[in-house]
Amino acid sequence: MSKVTHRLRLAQRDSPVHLSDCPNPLPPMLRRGNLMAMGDVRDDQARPAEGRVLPTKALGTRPSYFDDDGATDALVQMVTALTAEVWSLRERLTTLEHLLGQAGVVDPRAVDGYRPDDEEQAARRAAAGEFTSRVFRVFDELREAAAAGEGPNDYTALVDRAYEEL
Amino acid sequence: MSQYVHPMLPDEEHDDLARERFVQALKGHIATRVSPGVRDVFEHRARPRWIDDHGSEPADRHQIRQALQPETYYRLWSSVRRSSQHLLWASVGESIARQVDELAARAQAMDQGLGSLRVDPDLEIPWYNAQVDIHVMPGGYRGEYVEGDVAAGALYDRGVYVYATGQMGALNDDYGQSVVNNFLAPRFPDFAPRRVLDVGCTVGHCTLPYVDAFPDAEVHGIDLGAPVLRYGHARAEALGRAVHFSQQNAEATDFPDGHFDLIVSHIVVHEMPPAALRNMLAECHRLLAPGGLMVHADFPGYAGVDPLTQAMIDWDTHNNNEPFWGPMRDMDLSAASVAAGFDADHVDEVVVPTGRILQTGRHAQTGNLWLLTAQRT
Repeated sequence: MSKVTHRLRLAQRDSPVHLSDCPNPLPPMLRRGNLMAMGDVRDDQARPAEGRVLPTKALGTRPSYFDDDGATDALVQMVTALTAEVWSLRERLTTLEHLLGQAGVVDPRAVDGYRPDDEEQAARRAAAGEFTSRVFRVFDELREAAAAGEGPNDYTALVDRAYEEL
Repeated sequence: MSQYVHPMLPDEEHDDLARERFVQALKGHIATRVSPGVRDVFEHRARPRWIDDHGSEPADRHQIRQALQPETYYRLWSSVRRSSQHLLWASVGESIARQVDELAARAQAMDQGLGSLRVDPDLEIPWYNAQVDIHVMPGGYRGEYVEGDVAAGALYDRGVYVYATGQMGALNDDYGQSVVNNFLAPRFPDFAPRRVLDVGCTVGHCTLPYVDAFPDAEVHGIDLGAPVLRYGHARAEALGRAVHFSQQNAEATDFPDGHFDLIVSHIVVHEMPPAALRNMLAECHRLLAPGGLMVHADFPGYAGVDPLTQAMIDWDTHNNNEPFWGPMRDMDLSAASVAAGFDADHVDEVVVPTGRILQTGRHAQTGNLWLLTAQRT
């Protein structure tokens, strides 16, 4: 009997897991809350996606800038959010370095409770500015190209000219 | 300088603060390094192409916007700017979603009977708030998601501080302080209002300076959103300031005629469409006692501003859920005040300094606060 149960458990564990089988795919931090029954939420306010406490989308159609139904804008948002995550990782490392230097021991609660002083906050603001310049360097590239008067086909023209010289 | 940690301010952890710092760095980078490039792209590409296509200069800010729209630089700039606004609310909102129940409970415990709170679940939300969440804040000023919700207030209080990179002061009260100290104190040194009304007060951040400036006055704040008022009430109580908050539409309040000696608002005028603005001005006229003052603090109109700068400022109208930003700046609000009943000789538009830095695409400049003022005769 127990063997059968064990085999069943194995079979369950090995079977593909569907998202719908999970109680809630969101991290706990986003789904806690003494939620109002959906019937109590006004119709004329933003409504959170299932499983979320607060809505992610403000009322009002989001503008689309690239004639592609918002696809590029969504990618831009992902890149922007990803950059924020990379930055927060970097800050975490900086904090760890400070704490390691101070105590020689790393306590995760100490990291969460760490608050930089005014001077260090200023230094971090400056560092965040440099970091952002690096990630969004493409704007300077586009701006320089505009000022240089480069057209979209200028480079192709060089290649064409070289071929013509054959 | 950091935000003053009053008892209602949401708790944030290391990574929340790091993400917020990134949002500030990104917005600062866009304003100082990327936005100026839009002017270059206009000059070198969009303007010459427009002239080629149309045989004339772009005539106004609307044509400048149309000329810029095909430009990849303009599109990417717009897309990143819009994403930075989403990231702002996402970064601040994550910690608030984590403690939404605790904040509601904290707000309830904060009441020490100094002021009061009156919410109206049956208040009809006008179209200009029901159809759009201003400046892309999910849920707006009035979304309610748990019992006794104050999340919108917490999101606004912390979000404004992060958005303004602290330039509105440790209590986000710079605009209220600017009206009190840079306008009322020098121009009306003996002014002693019996009752003060702050219209569209949200969390009361600009209301509290009036409690300090006029300790004998009864200070009121009204707003369309219940959760921002709940938070504002708790915040004022926690800070030991007596304010009477009520959920009302500024176009038609339930206060009696001549009830107030001073009616103020802070960056609310640009969040209202013209017809509602005209109603609000008429309501101010009704509510003011003879000799009473109306002071609406906002940003100046477009009259006299070059069209490219107008187009840069006007980005928010079309791209940042600020639909009334452009229409308001095209209005003659002095004339609207006269039409609302104020004596033309007692209506004025005044500019006072603030510490705010504006996103015009030019390099950082010290901000000015534009005031629409009128005295009831």
